[in-house]
Amino acid sequence: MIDFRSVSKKYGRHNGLSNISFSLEQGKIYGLLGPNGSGKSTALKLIAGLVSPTSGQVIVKGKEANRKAAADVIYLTEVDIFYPSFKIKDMIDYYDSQFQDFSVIKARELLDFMNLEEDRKIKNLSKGNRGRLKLVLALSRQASVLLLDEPFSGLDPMVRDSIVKGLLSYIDFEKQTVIIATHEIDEIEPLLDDVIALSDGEFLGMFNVEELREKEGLSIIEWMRRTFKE
Amino acid sequence: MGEEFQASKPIYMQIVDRISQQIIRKELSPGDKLPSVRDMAVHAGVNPNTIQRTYQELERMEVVMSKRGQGTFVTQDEEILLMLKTNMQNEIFASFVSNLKELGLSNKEMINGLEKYLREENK
Amino acid sequence: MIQAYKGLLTKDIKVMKNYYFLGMGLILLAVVGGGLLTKYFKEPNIMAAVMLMVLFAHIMYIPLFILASLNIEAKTQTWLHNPNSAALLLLSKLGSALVAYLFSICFTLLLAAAVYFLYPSAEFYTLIQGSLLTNTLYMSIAITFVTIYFAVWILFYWSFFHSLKNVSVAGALRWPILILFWIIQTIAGNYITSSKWFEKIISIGVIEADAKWLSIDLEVNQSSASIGMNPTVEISLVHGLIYTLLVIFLFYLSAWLIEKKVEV
Repeated sequence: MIDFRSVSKKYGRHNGLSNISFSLEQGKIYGLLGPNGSGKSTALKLIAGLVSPTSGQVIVKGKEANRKAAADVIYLTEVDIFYPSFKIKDMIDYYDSQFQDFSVIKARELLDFMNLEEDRKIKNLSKGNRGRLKLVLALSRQASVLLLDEPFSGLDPMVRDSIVKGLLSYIDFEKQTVIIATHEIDEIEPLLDDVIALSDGEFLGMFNVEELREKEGLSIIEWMRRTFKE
Repeated sequence: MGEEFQASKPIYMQIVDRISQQIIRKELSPGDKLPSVRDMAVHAGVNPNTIQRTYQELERMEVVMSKRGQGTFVTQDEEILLMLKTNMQNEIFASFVSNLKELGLSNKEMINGLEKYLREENK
Repeated sequence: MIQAYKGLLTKDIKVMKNYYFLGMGLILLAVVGGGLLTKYFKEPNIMAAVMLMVLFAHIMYIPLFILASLNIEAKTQTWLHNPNSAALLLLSKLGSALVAYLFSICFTLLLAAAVYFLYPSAEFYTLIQGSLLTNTLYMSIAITFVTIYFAVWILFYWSFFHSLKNVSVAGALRWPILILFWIIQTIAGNYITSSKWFEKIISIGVIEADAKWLSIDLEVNQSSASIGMNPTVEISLVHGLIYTLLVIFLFYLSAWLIEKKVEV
């Protein structure tokens, strides 16, 4: 589904990612974990084709990722994705016109689910509601890859809860592959199948959440604590 | 969000335990339908694949049966339900006893201690 | 694709709505200011001159509009996460700017007409030879071509600037590189347009328009458009063709840069 083949990305002299290889399967929820600046965002942008590797290849559904991958990849950046003067409805119309897999019906359903009103101006929304709206836009598409960059950062527990519930209720978990980049692990651990750990652009490891518990008796967060202490 | 999970045990097994407890307490009666995988996942805030594994494990234990296209149901086989109850009891006894043994208690002291504890708790 | 373009265009127009009204406001401000000065000095020429200035200011309309629009996109990071081609995205920027421009210039022309009827006595009009109406219209058409031409350069410089961002050494030196590039481009442009062979080439297919209207010299030296006052006008078809090709080339070069080199 998604393959990183010896991927390196340099920003100037700074190493974004160095020589990373892994491959992801369809229908799983992955956590991309690591402290800030570990290369998580870069990895997501590479999959979305918004950044190209300095060396190596990123393969998405058999093709080298480029900007056109957006047809099959949903990417939610950490920063604001909205035009400030827009109403929620404007944003939905815009997405509908750009992405063939966008469903307005599903968007309305999701707005209901998240308690958002179409006529609200985006600049008047609270931070939490913006986070919710981002997810509405993402989940209204059917693309097979869903990339979320720090979807919980700075949001209160209620909003986090509604985002997790929204994800679980609306993703097509047999067909869609979800990658969540985050440094806040504890709350989403039960959500994840597998975890990829990065640190300073280096690949630390990839493992199954349940296996780690079965074999080592460790939760991800404990594993991370031990690894980063070393 | 869903409930907290212990770190030392796989999440799917912890949910197996929870559902088993609900069955033993009769919150889920024989023949009852379990929530769909997705509903269960949303309710528990857990990965759907984990719930799938939970249901598979329960099926392996013959505590539930899945009927094609209809969903997953609690078994009506009383013998199996009784066994489930006994097994869970025994599991708890086992850890209880082993903990007390580590304190150096004899069997007699354990029984006396337990009786005394229950009397006081019921007051 | 038509639906996608419509969506982009709608979005681009909505995003720039406030800037559009800002432009209108500036025009009205100039007119009101001119009107007050005219009243104070009892000099109708001031009003007429202000109108001409406002009209000519439209040369910068589309470039500025597009620059503002692109800078909004650079902030939100959502523009390039889009399955449509960069050419379509840019075409929508041009389209939305053109729509706003057309409204603005029509508005200006209407105001100018009003001014003409309010102050028919200004000698200023006699500076413009021939029919005032047709001359103004021709002038507007010329301004339209020039503003589109500048706009495409803006598209190119913007994409070029953003392409340099992640190039190791060049990243830090983006501004100097851009300015150096601009100087080279201006010198080269002047050299070519003033050379003998270029004059020869553009003299092919010249139409001598026997018009008494204020001639608009479409001599656009990359950076400046000079508006001459010759009573006759020479329109070189080859000249026009060269500029058309240059515009198309710059447009696709910008699209290519955005597709392949610009990173968010």
